[in-house]
Amino acid sequence: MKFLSKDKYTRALSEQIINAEIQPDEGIWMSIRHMFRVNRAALLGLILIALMVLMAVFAPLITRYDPNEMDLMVMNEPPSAEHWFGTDDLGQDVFTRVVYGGRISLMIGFVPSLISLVLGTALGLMAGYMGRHVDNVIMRLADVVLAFPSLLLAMVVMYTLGSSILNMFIALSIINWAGTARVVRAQTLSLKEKEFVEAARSMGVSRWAIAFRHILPNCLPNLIVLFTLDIPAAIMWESSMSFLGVGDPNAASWGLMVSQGKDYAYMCPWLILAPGLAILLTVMAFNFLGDGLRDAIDPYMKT
Amino acid sequence: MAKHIAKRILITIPVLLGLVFLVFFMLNVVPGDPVTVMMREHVKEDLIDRMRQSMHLDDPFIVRYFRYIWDMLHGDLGISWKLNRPVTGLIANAFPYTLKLAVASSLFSWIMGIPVGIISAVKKNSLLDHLSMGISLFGVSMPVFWVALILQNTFKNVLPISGADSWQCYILPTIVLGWSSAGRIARLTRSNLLDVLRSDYIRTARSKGLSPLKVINRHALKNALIPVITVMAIQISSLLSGAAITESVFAMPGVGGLAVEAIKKRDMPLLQGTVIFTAVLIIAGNLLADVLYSVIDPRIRVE
Amino acid sequence: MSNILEIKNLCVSFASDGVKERAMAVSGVSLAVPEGKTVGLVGESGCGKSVTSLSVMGLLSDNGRVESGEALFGGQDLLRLSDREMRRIRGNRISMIFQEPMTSLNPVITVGKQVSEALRLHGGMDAKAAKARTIEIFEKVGIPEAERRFKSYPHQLSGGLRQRVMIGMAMVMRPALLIADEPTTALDVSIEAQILRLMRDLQRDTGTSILLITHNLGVVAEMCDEVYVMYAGEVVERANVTTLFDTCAHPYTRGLMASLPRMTPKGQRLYNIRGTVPNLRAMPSGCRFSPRCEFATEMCRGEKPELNDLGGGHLCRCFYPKDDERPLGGIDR
Repeated sequence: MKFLSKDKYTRALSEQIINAEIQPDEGIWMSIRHMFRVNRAALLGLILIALMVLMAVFAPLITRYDPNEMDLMVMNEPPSAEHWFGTDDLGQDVFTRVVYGGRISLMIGFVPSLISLVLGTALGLMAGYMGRHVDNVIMRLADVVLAFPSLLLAMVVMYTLGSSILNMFIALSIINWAGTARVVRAQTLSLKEKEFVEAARSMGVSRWAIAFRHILPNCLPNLIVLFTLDIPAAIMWESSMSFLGVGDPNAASWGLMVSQGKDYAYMCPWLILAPGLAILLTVMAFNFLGDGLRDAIDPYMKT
Repeated sequence: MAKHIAKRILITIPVLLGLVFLVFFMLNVVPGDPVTVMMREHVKEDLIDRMRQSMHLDDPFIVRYFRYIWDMLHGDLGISWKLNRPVTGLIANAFPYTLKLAVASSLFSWIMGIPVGIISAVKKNSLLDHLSMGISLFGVSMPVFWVALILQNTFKNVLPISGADSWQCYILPTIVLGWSSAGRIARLTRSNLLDVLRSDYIRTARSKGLSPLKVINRHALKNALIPVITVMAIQISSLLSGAAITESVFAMPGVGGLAVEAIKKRDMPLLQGTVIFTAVLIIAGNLLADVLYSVIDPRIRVE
Repeated sequence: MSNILEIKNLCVSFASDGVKERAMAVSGVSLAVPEGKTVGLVGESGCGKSVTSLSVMGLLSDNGRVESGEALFGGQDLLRLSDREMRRIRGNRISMIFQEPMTSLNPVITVGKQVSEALRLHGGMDAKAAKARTIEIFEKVGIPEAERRFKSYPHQLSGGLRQRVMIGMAMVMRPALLIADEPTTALDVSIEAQILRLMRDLQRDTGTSILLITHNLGVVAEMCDEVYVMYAGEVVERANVTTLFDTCAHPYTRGLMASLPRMTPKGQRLYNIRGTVPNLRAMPSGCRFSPRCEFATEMCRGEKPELNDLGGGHLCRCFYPKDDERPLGGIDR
C-alpha cells in the first residue's frame, strides 16, 4: 500500500524500470516462493481466493437452494440452520445468493482485468516499439485515463453503452488498461537497447519474435502484480456502480445485493452484512496477495 | 523552481483537453435524441426541429466540441435536460456541500492516519501495530457504500442520517468518506517511516547520541512525511469520487449526488458538467500536490 | 601504554526472515586500540568487521544481537551500558564515520545544522555558538567557503566535501575514539588521499585514537600502527603494520597481500584467493579458512586452530604459520 493511486504507482514503477541496471531474472520465482513461506498474509490471501473460486465454480454442490427460487413462507427470516445467512424479502436464501453472486463478482474481477492486461500489454509494446507518433498518442491517452477518477469514467462509459454486464466489462477494461500499458512500454524501452536484444536483432530475429521471447517474459512479474491488484479494484468499482444503480440490474452481484437489501437493512441487517462481508473478504484477499507479490518483486527492480 | 512549476502546468493542459474530449465524445455518441428525452412524447414536429436548431444538434461533432470548450471557458456548461436550469448554477449550489464534506473527511483522515502510522512504525510488530494495520487494511478493503449503510443503521437514533441542514449531518458522512483514506494514510506513513528509519542517515543521527525521540522527530519525520503530502492530491480524487456514493446514501445535495442523479435520469449535460468539473478539480489537486512537493523537498527545490 | 578500547571475546548473531537459527556474524573477536594510535581492521566484506564496530557503538540493526563479550572503554563495558548512558558517549567520546557520505547525511537538513546538532546536544551550546563552532570545524576539515556551506544541503556538495562534513561531524566533540568504517571506499583515489591526510592531521592535533575498518591494504599501510585481519567472523592475524607487510603469517593474509597489484612482480598474474567466504550458517568444521587454503591438511579440516603468539605480539590462527617451504600458488595453479 505504498502508493495510493495507480497513476502514481505505475509512473514510479516505469521510472524504476527505465533506470534499473539489472533486469529481473529467474530469482523472482524463488523469491515469490520464499515470500509465501514468510508472508502469512499473502498465503492466506491465496488460500482465500482459491476457496472463493472453488465456491463459485461448484456453487450448485454447496447449496441446495436455487438463487432465484422464492419461498414466500420464509420472507426476511434471520439466519438459522435452514438458511445460514437468512432470507430476503422475496424469501430467497441469502447464503445461496452470496455463493452465486460470487460467480458474477469474481467474473467481474477477472474478465476485465484480463482484457486490460492483454490490451495494455499490446498497446504498451506498440508504444515502446514503434515510438514517435504511436507512442505519443497511446501514452497521452493513458495519461488522460489515469488522471480521470476511475469510478466517474466507468459511469460515463456505462451511461453511453447502457447497463449490461458486457458493458461493465468494457467500462472496467477502459479504466484499467492504461497502467499496464505504461509499465510494459517502460520495460520495452529499457530492453530495446540491451545487448542481447540487439544481438538477436542482428541475427535477423524479427521484432515481434523478440518482443515475445525477450521482452514479455521480463514484464511478467510486474504484470502479475498489476493483474492481482486490478481484480479487487474492479470488484469494488462494479459493486459501487451496481449499488448506485448503474450496473446490470439482472446480474445479482454482491454490490447489487447490498443495494437491494438497503431498505430493509435496519430490520434485517443480514441482507447487507452477508454480501458486504463477501466483498470485504475478497478484496482483502487479493490485496494481501498483490502486496506480497509486489514486495517480493521489488528488490529485483532496484539498481 | 518557477520553471518546474510552469512545466507542470503546461503538461496539464493537453491532459485536460484530452479529458474533456473523452467525456464529450462518449456522451455525445449516445444513441437517442436528446430532444425527445427532454420533451417526452406528443410534441409537434416543428417544435422539435426548432429545438434541435437552437441546441445546434445538427452541427458536426467537432464544431460542437469546440463550441462546448468555448462556452465552458466562459463558465457555461449547458442546460440540464431534466431540471431545465443552467448546469453551472446547479454545480455552484451543490459544490459547497461537497467541499465541506471533503475538507472535513480529509482532516479526519489525517488526524487519524498520521499518528497511527507513526506509532505503528515506531512500535513495529507490537500488538498496537498489528491491530492498527489490521484495522486500516479493513478500512481500505471495505466498500464505501457498505460502511455508509452500516453506520447509518447503527446510529439511526443518535445522529441525523440524511440531508445537510446542520453540522451533525456531516458527522457520519465524514467518517464514512475519511475512513478508507485514514487507512491508506496510516499505511503510507508507516511504510515510509520504516524505510527512512532503516536508512544510513538515521544511523548517523543515532551515532551522534540523539535520543530515539529526537531521531524520529528531527531526522525521520520530515523525510517520511514529504511523500504523504502527495497523498493530498490523490485524496481529493478519491474523496470526490467517493463523495458520489456517500452523498447519495446520505441524501446530501452535493456534486457527487448530482452526478448520480444525472446518470439515473439520463441527463447528459448535467452528467457532462459534473464529470468535467470533478475531473478538473482532481487534476488541479494533483498539480497542487506536485508543486507543494517541490516547495517542501529541498532536493527538488534548489534545482 | 594503555588501551582506549578493549574488545574481549565479542560474539554477535543475526536473525533473518523465515530462518529459525541465528547466524553468527562475529564469533569471539578480541582486539585493543591503544591510546593515540590507529588500528586497522581488515577483511573481505561480510567478514564481520562492520558488525564489530556497530556493536561497540550500540547501533546494531534490530535483527542483530550481542551474544557475549565485553567492550571496555574508559573502565566501562559499553555492551552493558543502558541506552541513556550509551547516548552520552556516542558522538561525544566515541564517534563514527560511515562509508557512504551520500546516504549517511540527512538529505533534507542542511549540513551545518547536522554538525551543530552534536555540539548543542553534548556541548550544551546555543544555536549561535554552535554555528560559530561548526563553521570553525568546517574550515579545519578543509571545506572552502565554510560560512556559505553551512546552509548547503548534502546533495549540493561533492562526495569528497560530504565526507569532510562527516569527519567534521565526528571530530567536533574531540572524541577519544573515532571509528571509521571504510571512510574512503566510495571516493575517487585522489580524494581518498586527501581525506586520509586530513584524518592523520586531525589525529595529530587531537590525539584521538582511530579504529579504521577497511578492505584496502593500501589504506592500512598508509594509516595504521597495528592491524587485525578478520576472516569469517574471527580474527585470524594480528601484527603491527611493519611486521604484517614484511612477514605476514596466515595464508589468508598472504593471499590478500599477493592479490595487491604492487606486491606482484611485473608480468606475473595477480593472485586471487580461490573460493568464496563460507556461509555464516554453514561454517566449516576445523579452520574456517581450510576450504580455501592451499596448504590445508587433514588436521586443518578437523581441528580448530587457536590464535597463537608467534612472538612480539604477532598473533596468528594457523597450524602452519608462515611456511616458506611452500610458496603461495605452488599448488593448483
